[in-house]
Amino acid sequence: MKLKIRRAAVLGSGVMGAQIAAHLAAAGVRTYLLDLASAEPPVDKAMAKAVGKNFRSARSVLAIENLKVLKPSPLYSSSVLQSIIPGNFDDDMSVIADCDWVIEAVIERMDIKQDLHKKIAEYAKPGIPVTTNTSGLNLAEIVKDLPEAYAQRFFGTHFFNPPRYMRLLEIIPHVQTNPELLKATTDWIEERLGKGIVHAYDTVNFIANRIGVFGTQSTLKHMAAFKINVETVDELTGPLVGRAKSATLRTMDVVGLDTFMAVARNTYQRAPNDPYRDLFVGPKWIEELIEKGSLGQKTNSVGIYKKDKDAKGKTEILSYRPESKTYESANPQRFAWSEEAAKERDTVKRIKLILSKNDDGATFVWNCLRDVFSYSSFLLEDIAGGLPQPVDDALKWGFNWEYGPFELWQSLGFDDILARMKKDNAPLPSWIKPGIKFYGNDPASAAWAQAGGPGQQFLATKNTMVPVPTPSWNYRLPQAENKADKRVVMSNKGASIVDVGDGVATLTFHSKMNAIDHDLIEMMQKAVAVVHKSFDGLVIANDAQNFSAGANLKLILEAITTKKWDDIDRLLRNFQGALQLIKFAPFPSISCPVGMTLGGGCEVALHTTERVAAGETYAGLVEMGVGLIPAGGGTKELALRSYELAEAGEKGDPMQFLQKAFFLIGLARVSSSAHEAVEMGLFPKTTSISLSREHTMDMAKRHVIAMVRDGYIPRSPVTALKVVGDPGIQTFRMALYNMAEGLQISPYDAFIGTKVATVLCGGEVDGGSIVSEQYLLDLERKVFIELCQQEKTAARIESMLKTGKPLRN
Amino acid sequence: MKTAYIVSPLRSAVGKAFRGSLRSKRPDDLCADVIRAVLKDSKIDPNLIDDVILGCAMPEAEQGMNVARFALLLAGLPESVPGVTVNRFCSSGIQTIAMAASQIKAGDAHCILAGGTESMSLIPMMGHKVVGSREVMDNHPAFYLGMGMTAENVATEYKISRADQDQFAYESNMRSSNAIEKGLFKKEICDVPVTFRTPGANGEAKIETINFNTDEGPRPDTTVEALGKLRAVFKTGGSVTAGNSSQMSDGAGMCFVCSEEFVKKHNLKPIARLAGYSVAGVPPRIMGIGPIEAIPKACKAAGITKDQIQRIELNEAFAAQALAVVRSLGLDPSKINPTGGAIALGHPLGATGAKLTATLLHGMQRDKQKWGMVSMCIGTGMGAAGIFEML
Repeated sequence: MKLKIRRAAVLGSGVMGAQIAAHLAAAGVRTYLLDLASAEPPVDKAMAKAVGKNFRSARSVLAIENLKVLKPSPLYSSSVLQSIIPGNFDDDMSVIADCDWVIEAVIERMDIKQDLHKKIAEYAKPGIPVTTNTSGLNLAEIVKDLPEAYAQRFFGTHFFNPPRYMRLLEIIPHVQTNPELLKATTDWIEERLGKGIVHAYDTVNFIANRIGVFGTQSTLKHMAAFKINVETVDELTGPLVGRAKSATLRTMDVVGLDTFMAVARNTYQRAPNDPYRDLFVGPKWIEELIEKGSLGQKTNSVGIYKKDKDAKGKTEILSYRPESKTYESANPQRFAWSEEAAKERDTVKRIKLILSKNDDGATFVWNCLRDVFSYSSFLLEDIAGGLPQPVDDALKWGFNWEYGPFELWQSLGFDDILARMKKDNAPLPSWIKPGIKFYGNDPASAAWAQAGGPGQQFLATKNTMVPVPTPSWNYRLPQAENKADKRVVMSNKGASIVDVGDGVATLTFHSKMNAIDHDLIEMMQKAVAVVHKSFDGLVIANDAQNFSAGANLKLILEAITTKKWDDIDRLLRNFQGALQLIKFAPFPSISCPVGMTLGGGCEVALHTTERVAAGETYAGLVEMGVGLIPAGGGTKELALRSYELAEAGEKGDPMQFLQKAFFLIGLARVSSSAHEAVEMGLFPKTTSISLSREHTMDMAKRHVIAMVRDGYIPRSPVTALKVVGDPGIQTFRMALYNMAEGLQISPYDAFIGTKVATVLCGGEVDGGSIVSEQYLLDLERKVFIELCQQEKTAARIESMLKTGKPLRN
Repeated sequence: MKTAYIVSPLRSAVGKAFRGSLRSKRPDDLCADVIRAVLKDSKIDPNLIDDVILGCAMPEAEQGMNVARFALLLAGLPESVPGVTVNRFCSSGIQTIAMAASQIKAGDAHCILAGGTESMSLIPMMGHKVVGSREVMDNHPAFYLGMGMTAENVATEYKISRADQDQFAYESNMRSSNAIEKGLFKKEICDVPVTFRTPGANGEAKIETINFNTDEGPRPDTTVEALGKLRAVFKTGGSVTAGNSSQMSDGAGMCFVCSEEFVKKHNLKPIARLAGYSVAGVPPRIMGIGPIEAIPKACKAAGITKDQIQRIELNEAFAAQALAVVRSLGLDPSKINPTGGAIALGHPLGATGAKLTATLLHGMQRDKQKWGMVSMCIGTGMGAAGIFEML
C-alpha cells in the first residue's frame, strides 16, 4: 500500500496546527487549516484588516498570518503560504471530502476531540488516515463511539514543537488501527515530511514526554535536596551531560510552565502504578509561579528566568530564587571538576569524569541520570513494547538529547552503572541483569557509524537480541577514509567514491566540516574518471548535517602569508577544472545539498546536472565575508544563468539579471531553506527538494538512473557569450559608490564588489564583446588572486578563522 | 524688448507613483488631457499655435519618441502644429516656458504652448537603462551621486538638523492638506479621465474610468513624532528619510506663452508675464543648493530685489536642501510654499516647473499679489528660478 497525499486538512489552528499545516504545505501538500467559526470580525483594527471579508475563518486566517512572524520560522519560504487555505468548522467541513489525510490538532480535551471526530466521520473520504495530534490523551477513548471502520483508520501522530525543526513524530496506534494503513502513512511521513518516526503505545503521554517530563520532575526534586540554584541546574543538565542547550528549567520556560505541569499532572492522574508517581506533583514553587501567571517565554519572558534590563539597558537574564521568591542575577556554582569537564569534548568521557567525583554537583548529576535510566527501563515494556531504540530516538529527536537513556547507559558501561543503581536501591524491572547489551554495536562506536545503526537491539519482553534493519534508502556513506568498506571504490583522507549499486557511484566528502581542499578536489577528478569507466552516473552526497562549509580557508591563508600566488592559482585551476569535468561529463550528476552548503560547497552543487536538496539547506556564495569572490566557477555559473535569462527576451538587458546575481554574491546571502535557495535565484528552478535529508541520496540515485535510462544529453561549454563588459562594471560601480558614500558598505566592500562585477560583466572589455566560459573562469582566478594580495582580505580570513565571524573592514 | 504673457496655466492633479490613480496613465495621454483643458480655457484657435515645447526629465519609453509631438497630436491639435521635447531634469517644466518666452521676446513666435509631463510610475528615475561611464567613475564619481545622498551632503554642510527637516515636512503636509480641504487648487487643476483595466472573470478585462482631479500625496494625519520615527534611507545614521523627501509622482502642467500683439488681437486675458528666468550650475555633490545661485540671477534679470517677491514656489526636492536655500538667501519662510510643496504634493520631475507655475499664479491671483517666483534644484548640480509679475 502506497499513499498519495496531495491534499490534507488540519483541524485546529493553534500553534501546533498552524505549524503542521505549514510543514505539509512545504512538502507540496495543499492544506486546509480549519478552526472554530467566528461570529463577528475581530475588534482589533490590524486583525480586522488581515481577516478582511473572510471573518468567519478569522482564527485560521490570523494563525496563518502569525506563521510569518514566528521564530524560528516555520515557513520554508513565504510562497508556502499559498498552499495553506483557511476555513472554519461551520462553513468548510465539506473540504475534508477532498483530503487524503485529516489531522485533528484541537485543544487537549477529550469531549471536544470526541465531538469533532464524529463530525470528521461525516465528511472524510473512506480509507484515508485520520489522526490526532495529542500529547497524552487516550486514543481508543477518542473514537470509542465511532463506527469500527472509522476507528480502524484512526491513530495518533504526535508532532513536537516546532514541527519544522523537531525531528520526532510519535506514531501511536490503538487496538483497532489498521496496520497496513498505519505503515503506509508512516512511510509517507518519513519520506515526505522528513520526520523521525517512533512507534509508541497508547499509554499516558507516550514516550518522549513521559520520560522527558519525568527527567525534569526528578531534576526538580534533586535540585531541592542538594540546594542547587536554578542556573546551576541548567549548567549541570545541559550540553555538559549531552542534553539540549536549554537544559531543564529553560526548557520549561520555553514550553510554558502550565503546559509542562499539565503533562506531569496527566501522568499522575492516569498512571496510578507509576513507580515514581509522587514526583509528578509539584514542586510548590513552580505551582506558585503558575498561579502568579509567570509561565515563561509566553508571559513576557517571566518564569523561572526573567529577562530584564540592567542599569545600562543591557539585557540580563535573572534567575528565580524559590526560597525568597525573588529574581536575582545569575550566580552559577562551580565544582572542583568544572574546568576539567569543560575541556573534555567527548560527551561520554565527560560524563564518566563527572561520575567519578563525589561532591554535591557530581552526585546531583548522577542522581538525575540514574533516575532516568531507572524510569526508562522500568517503563520499557509498557511504553515501547520492550525495545530500547524507540525510547532513545524519542529523547534524541524530541528533546535534543545527544544520546538516549539506553545508549548512554551502555556507553557509560552497563554493569558499572547497574551496580551503582542497585546500591542506591533504584527501582528496576526484573529483566535488567548484569551483562545485558541494549545494542549490538556500541552507540558511540565506529561500528555503529559504519553499520548505520546498532545492528541489533535487546528485546526485553523476550530477553533476546533482535535485528534492527537498515532501511533501503539509508546508504551509510563513510564518515572517514575506510578501506574496509567493500563498497568504497577509491578513497583518501577527504573523500571517498562509493559504489551504491545499480550503476551509480557516490562521491562523498568527509573532511572536517567537509571543507574543500586538495584531497576533495583530487577525488572529484577521480570520480569523473571512475564513473566514466565503470558507472552510469554520479551522485555527490554526504551523510552529514552539512554538505560543505566551503573552501579550506587555512590553506588559502597559508599561501597568502607565504605569498605563494601560484599555489592559489593551481588550487583554483584544479577546483574549477574538476567542476567543469563534472559539468560536461558524458553522464549525469546530481548533488544533494543539505545544511550548510556554502562557498565552494555551493559551487559544487551549482555544477552538477541536477540537485536534490534537503529542505533544511542553508546555501550561499559567501566568499565576500572573507574578502574573496566565488572562484570555483560559482560567479561564472550565476553570470551564465543571467545572460541566458536575458536572452529569453529579444531585447533583454542582461544587467537586470546580473544585478540579482551581483547582490547574491555581494551581500553574501544565505538561504534559510532549499525552497528559498531556488526563489532567490541561487539554485536553478529545476532543483528537487525533499524535507527528508535521509532520503535525498536515494532520490538522487533514482533520478540519475532515470536520466541515464531516458537518454542523457551532455552539456557543452559556452564558447560565444555576448557580455556587457566594462560599461556594466561601471554601472555596478555607480551603485557601490552610492552605498559606500551612504556608509552602508565599507570602501573595501565596494572594492570587492567591483571585482565581483568584473567577473559577472565578462571583464573590462567593450560592451557586446564575445567571450567563452573559460574566459569567465580565468577572470574569477585573476580577481581572486588580486584580492588575496590585499591586506584587508588577509585580515578578513584571519578573523573568520579565529572568531568564526566576518570582519567588516 | 517684447513681453511674454502667460495664459491659462493649468495642471493635472498629482498622482502618487506606482500605487496612485495615475499609475497606468500614459504621460502623453495625460499631457493631451491638460492641453485640451488649456485650449478650452484660453479659447485660442489651435491653428494659430506656433509650437509646443514640452519638458520631460526621463524622455524614453512611454514618454520617449518626442513626447511633445505625440501629446499634441493626441490632444487633437492640427497636424500643422509642431512639437519639441526639452530636458533639464527637474526644471524642464519651467525651462519650456522660458524658452517659449525667449522666442516671443525675440519676435520669432506669437503663441507657444509650453509645460511638462512625467510618469514616474512608468519610467523610473534615471530611465530603464542605466550605464555608467568609466571616465566619470574613475575621476568624477560624485556626478553619479544619488539625489538622496546629495541631500545628506547638504544637510551636513549647511547644518540642517533632522528635527528641522521633519518640522518642514510636517508643515508641507499640513499646508497642502488645508489647501485641498479649502478647495484652493480647484481652479488650477483640470479633470483627467483615467481608465483602469483590471483582470475580471473569464479572462475579461474589467474597464473602469474615473475622473482624477485631487492631489493624493498629502497626509493630513501625519505628525512630527511619526516623521521622526522614519529611518534614514540613503545614509546609515543620516537624516534624510522618505518622510522629509519629495514623493515620486505622476503629473502634467501646461500654459500658453503669447506675445502682446497676439493677446490684444485675440482679446485674451493673460494672468502674468514672465519677468525673468535664470539657471546656474553648482557642485553635483550638493546639487540641492542650485537655487542659491539661480535666484539672485533671476532677480537681476527681472530687475527686482528678492524682498519684493511676495510668494515663492520653491520645489521641495528634500527638506534639507529647501531649508538650506531659504536660510542661505535669507528668504522669508512665510512666503515659501503657502499651500505646501513636493514633500506632500509630489514631484513629477519634468512636469514640476509647469505645475508650480500654475500653483503660483493662481495663488497670487487669489491673494492679489504682484511678484512671485518658481525655483528648484536640478540633478547633477543646477538651479533654476523664474520670476513672474501678475497683471
